[in-house]
Amino acid sequence: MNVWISLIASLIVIGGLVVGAAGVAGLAQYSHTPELLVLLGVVVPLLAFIAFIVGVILQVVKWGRRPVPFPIATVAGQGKSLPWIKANYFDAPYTKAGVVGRMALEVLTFRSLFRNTKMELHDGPKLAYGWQMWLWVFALAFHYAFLTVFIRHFRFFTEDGSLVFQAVMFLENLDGFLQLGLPHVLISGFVLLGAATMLLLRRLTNAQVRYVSLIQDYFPLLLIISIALSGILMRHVIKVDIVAVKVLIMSMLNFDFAGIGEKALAIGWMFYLHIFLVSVLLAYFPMSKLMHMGGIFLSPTRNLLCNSREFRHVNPWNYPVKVHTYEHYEDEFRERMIEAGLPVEKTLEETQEAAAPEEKE
Amino acid sequence: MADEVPKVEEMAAINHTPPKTGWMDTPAVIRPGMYCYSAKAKPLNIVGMPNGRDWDPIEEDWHLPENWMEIVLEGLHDRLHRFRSLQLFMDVCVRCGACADKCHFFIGSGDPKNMPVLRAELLRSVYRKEYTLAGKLLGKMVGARKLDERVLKEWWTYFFQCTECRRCSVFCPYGIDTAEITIIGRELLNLLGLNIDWIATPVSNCYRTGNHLGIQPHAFKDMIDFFVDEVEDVTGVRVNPSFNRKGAEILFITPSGDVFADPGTYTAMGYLILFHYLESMGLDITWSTYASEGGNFGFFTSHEMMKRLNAKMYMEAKRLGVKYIIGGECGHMWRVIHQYMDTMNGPADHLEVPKSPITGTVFQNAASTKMIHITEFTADLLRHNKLKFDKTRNDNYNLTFHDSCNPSRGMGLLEEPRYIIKEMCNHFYEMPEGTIREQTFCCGSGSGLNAGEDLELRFRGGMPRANAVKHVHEKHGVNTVACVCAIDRAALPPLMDYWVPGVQVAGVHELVGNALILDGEKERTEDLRFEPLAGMEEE
Amino acid sequence: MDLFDIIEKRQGRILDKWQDRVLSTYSPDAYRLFKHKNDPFANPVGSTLKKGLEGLLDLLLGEGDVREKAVDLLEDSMKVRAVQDFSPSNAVGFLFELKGVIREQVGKDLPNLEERPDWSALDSKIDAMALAGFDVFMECRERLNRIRVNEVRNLSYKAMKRANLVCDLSEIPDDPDGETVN
Repeated sequence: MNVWISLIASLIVIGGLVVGAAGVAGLAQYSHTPELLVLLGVVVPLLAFIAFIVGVILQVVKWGRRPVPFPIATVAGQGKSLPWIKANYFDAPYTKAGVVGRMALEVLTFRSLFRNTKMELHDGPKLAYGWQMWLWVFALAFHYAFLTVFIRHFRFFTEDGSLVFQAVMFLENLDGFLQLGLPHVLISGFVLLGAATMLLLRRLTNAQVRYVSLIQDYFPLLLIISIALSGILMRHVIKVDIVAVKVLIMSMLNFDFAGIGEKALAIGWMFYLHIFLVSVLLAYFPMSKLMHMGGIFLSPTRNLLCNSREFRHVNPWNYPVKVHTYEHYEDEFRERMIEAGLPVEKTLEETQEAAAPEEKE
Repeated sequence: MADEVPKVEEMAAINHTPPKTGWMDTPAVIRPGMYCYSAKAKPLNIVGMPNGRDWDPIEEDWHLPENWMEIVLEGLHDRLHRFRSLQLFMDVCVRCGACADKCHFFIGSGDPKNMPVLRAELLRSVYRKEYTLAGKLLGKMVGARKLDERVLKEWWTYFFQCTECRRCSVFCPYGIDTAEITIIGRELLNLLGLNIDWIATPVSNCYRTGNHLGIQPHAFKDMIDFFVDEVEDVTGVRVNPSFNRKGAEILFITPSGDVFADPGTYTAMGYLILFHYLESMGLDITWSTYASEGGNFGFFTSHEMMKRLNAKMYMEAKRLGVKYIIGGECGHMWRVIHQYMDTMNGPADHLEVPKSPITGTVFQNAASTKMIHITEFTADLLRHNKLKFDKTRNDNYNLTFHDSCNPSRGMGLLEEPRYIIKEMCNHFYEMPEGTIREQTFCCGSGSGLNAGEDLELRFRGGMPRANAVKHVHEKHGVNTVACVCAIDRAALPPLMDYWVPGVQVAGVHELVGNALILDGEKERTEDLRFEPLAGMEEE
Repeated sequence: MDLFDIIEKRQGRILDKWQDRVLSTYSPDAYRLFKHKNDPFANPVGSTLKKGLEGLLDLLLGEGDVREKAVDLLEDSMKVRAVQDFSPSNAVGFLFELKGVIREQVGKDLPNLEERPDWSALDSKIDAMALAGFDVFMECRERLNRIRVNEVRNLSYKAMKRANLVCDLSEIPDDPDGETVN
């Protein structure tokens, strides 16, 4: 697929979503129609959330139900064999803890991607080809920033003063340690925006990656960039009353629907744009490549032990097959085997005797 | 005025980067030198594989069965439900490109469809069309396409341009293993009789006669007897192997390449010398003519065929009543043994946990499969100082070690062969980091691609490996590549002949055979290749 | 100013452009790998070709018989191109490209380039290089075919013959056990 078509199509879709959501929100506030705001800010997110949960569960269940017939771990180090040969604990794991470690390193540090980087590093300082190293750097930055942003948002879902709330606020304070601007600039948002942008640029400039990229690669990146951008704008430029946001969310969580319209009207349109884009991401997530998050845990080349000769792996659909038995083999070659002095199960006489009665019948 | 002179570059005009078309719009070209001859009807019929017929890949008409599309799609559906690997690998790729330049075929050819991600997309695109809503609705826009003959031909071309070496899977953040895609892709092609001759013929030979070359039992024995003579010529000692002997403690199975193809034959002589050496110390081992093939080209055909051929190992072990099995130096054979055999044909309750009769070491790592690698066995002997040897007999060899794909990424056998080589030889040099151990480069001929007709393909794919050998050849004077794989021993000599002339290939146990000091041996002046030993050249 | 002096001064840039043109005979994905990845073991094709061109450019600027020395320098590069999808002309044509690169890089400073005597010296040196290129390319193809033909014999046939498992015609006397029947 032509890169420009993919890119433009993604932009058109996201542009449509942005204009649509902003338009509806603006219109609702202008015409004082709280129903539309409730739809955009409560109903759609709720549906998206349900779609997300159901979708993710269905996908993971689908994967989980598929059997793993063979122990096909990718062995990436010395396997466990003789006691005096040091086995590689994480790269050829032979204990459950080793597998957990391997998975943790994979999930938390993107270890396999880091292998590229390691190769880059002894390549010398020239960075012309260094995008590969940046893949690891940007991917790591992107995912950790995303995680931080995700956790930060729990301040809107927890009671002020509760333990979780305090923990989240602690994280947010860390995030804003630069103490720039008012409200403080939160680094994670900018890192998320920056890293997603760099991943997009990498996709566009690296000929190999560009050649294999599809619209499903551009769309989520652009969507996440839009979400990050709308969040940052909402915090610093087109500000909304976050106390009002929290009031709305908490009353929904407490099933308190009284005065919902008024509560919704108290929040600026930018919020509705932001949450609508997040809803789109949530709903899109389970059917997209973003599910790699769940997939990694189930990947049989990574989550299996490398001890397949020590412990038998069972294939649930193992079935009997047709084989060429030794008896068949000897029947075919008996004479020549005897001539060559190879031991046989039956002598020529025995086979003739066995065959003889049949002939009489 | 000067402008009117036709420019030299216009006259010379060479084709630069072809006009860029999306990969879906670039049909696969099946080119002489780059493809293997197709499987004929006979070998497929012998083993009961479906749709066997004589066909030619470069002809337009492949004589596909009427309902071929149905067969393939049903086959795909079935496998998506039987292999989590396939289902997951179809779903989770993010096309990050980390694998792109890890494939030896891409590195050597620059053909984008040799990037692992794209090789998988060849199948994934059809999966999207059949199984995802977006794919059904938006088609090409979302990288989905209908299965048609062009797609099928592309599959055939590129699934037989992958050696299932798993190097890409080391670098993939989700562990996507292209070998798995290729294995299942080939399984689908085999439903239509679309195998290659170099795989199908060995499979049917192996099924009937016990080995890939179709060597009948008496000839197998003749060949080993011939080695016995050769060993006697070199050492003055007559070794005495046994065949199909019931009641032996150990069954020995090695790839037939060691018995019938140079330079594997020297490795086979090495085994014979080692076994003879250990005989008086209590080793009781037999060869089998029925299970005379360690290699398993069924692995390159389908899971079922792999199981059918592999079954002979345990069946023969049971018939002979041995306690356990030792396996010779082979690559994919060991992936099959390490990751498939026990699951497919086990549990081998008729066998016992391998225990070295010489050192008493119990090989706990093979407690269930009951089969150990000969380098594990020999490394253990060396560690316990059970062998008397003269390593100067290998002084003519400046060695490097090529990790074969399957023993490294399919079982993690990295140190055992190195330990033996270092004990047996004085001159050993590693190739550069990033080209050995778990990151080793394939010989370019694995997974059944070591036919004669696809030499260009093999030499391109083997170029990264050869290039690293060239480096140690120039830097340290390396003249021998040691390896523990029969396909390597067959494929590396021509590869070296082309890229690094002057470098030969040896099995690890050939070196053992040279160095071992046998009781009552004559003064050795030659190695197993009848080349004079270092310092003996003048005679 | 002498043409060769200018080339020498701009050697780095000329080399870069030349390498660029040669490597852009591959797909863009491959170009990126071949041109930019510096690790010679992760990128053997690109490294070999780049190194080959560097040597050839040095040769052009140096003394001595170009054709003879070029043979050695071209060996590695031609081996690579001989196993890739190139027609002989495309495999060797990149040597002529140097003319275009040099013209492009020095043309502005030396008007009427083609009429200068040192240009024709350069011209014939490059031609000599290209002729050597054809020789080496053909030699590589021949080597490839020789290996292809020998492979089977070198492997199983040789081993089985040593073991006397195949019939060797040379050991059979002429016209053995001939019997004339009606």
